[in-house]
Amino acid sequence: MIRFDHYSLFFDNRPVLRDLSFAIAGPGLTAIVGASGCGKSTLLKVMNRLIEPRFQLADARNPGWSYTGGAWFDGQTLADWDGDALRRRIGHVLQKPLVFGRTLADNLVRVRRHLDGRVTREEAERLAWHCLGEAALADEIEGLDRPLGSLSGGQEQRLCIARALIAEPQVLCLDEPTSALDPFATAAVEATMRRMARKRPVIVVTHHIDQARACDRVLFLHNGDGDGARIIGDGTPREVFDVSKDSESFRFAHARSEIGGLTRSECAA
Amino acid sequence: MLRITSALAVWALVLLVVLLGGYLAVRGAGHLSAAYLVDAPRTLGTAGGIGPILVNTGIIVGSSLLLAVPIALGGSLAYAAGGAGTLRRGFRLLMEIGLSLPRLLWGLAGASLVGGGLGLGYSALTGILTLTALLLPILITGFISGLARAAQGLLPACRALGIPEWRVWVFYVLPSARPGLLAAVLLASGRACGDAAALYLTAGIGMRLLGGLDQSASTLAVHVFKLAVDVGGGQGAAFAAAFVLLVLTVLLQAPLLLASSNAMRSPS
Repeated sequence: MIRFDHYSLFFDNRPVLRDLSFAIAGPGLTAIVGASGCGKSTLLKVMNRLIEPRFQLADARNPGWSYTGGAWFDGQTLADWDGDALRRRIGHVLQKPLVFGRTLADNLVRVRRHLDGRVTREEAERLAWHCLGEAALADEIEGLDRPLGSLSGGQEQRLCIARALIAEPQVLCLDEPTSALDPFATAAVEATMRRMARKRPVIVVTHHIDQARACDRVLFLHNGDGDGARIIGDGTPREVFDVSKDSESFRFAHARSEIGGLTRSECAA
Repeated sequence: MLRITSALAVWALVLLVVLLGGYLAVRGAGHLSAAYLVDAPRTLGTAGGIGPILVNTGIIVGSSLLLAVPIALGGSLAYAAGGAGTLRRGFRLLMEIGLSLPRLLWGLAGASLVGGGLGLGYSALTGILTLTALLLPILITGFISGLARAAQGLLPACRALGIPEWRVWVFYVLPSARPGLLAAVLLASGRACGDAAALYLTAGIGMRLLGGLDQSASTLAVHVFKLAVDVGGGQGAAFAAAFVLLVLTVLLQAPLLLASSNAMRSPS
């Protein structure tokens, strides 16, 4: 479904991502893990062309984003897709959740009707309830006219997930979906992610080790020499985090807190 | 601390406006009455009221805003939605220059290009067209900042959903930017009401109720200017008209003042 082959991304000719090769095909939960600022979110934005680089290196007259290598979705290069059509197939929940308008309907029914002008209000409402169910929010609300001000942070985040599902995407990308949530809300969002991953590939950017360990697959990005982030670990969480003690991914997963010499997981426990 | 300083600044400004209003009312007390607002002016405006002038002000300012707002909205949407480029930078520079140009220059340009060039002479239409051009930079810079503020989070969130960009601007950003857009319109209407130099040179100093846009008509600000400078013994009438102008301007800006005081009171 999504395939990157020796893909490198540059900004003003400085490497950001380097020689990435991976494929994500069937349903499952894939975590993209790495240190802050290493390029995880950038990779998501490349996937659905929120960043639109030009092929081959930029020159002095045309600075900005450029790339080498290849990237495909559904057998077609990303560049060949119509940007909006691609983004409807690869849903993306941004790092900072932002809800629109005044009610749930503004975020679901209205968005669906803007994506597809032929859909009736009744059809859009039916789909909205289905998406709310997938995002585990349907039982917590009474109606689509519920005002947004009454939602908690976790509910807002799940509403953003439901809104991304309203376009019926084939793949769903979530950029640090729990970074601003308390443990209860985090647990609810993580359960939602796992349920959604039964039907489609779900890609989640995170630097929470516990969250990454709960995924089916981990891609570990590392920008060691400042020469762009590379994938230095690709496999199950156990293979990436626990096998090679000399690897950066092992050190990342087992980093000791300064408080009492505990690992992050131990601190959390 | 910042909140206290802002509140002090606002109250100092309110006090200043009240003092100014009081001074104008006292100096123009001999002329002020309910009839003053509806009667026609007599003897070059030194006697009678300002009824037709108030109506003419409404026609000229209202027509200018009706023309300028849609043009400015289209221009600022095109600017905000467009990418970086030389044309965009040039447009922005032009607006900044337009903002800083003295009103007198707008008046001279309007009188020679519209009044002389198009043969409209001293007329309400010349004034309306000149005022429209003068208001465009004020409206466009206000609209651009209002749209940019609203688009900040909305644009990436809507784009990520695959909503076509023009729909994002029209159906999402524009409604969210309403308070910023309204503030720009109120600011522009205040400036339009208060402008004397540009309209003095274009719409002229006619005091009769407008029978057509080809006739000369003074707005309230021009009337004040004319009484204070050109008409002997017009000082008292000028103060009375200036008091009405001040009240009119404050009333126009009241929604803006209320909104900002609410924003100051609401928790951050």
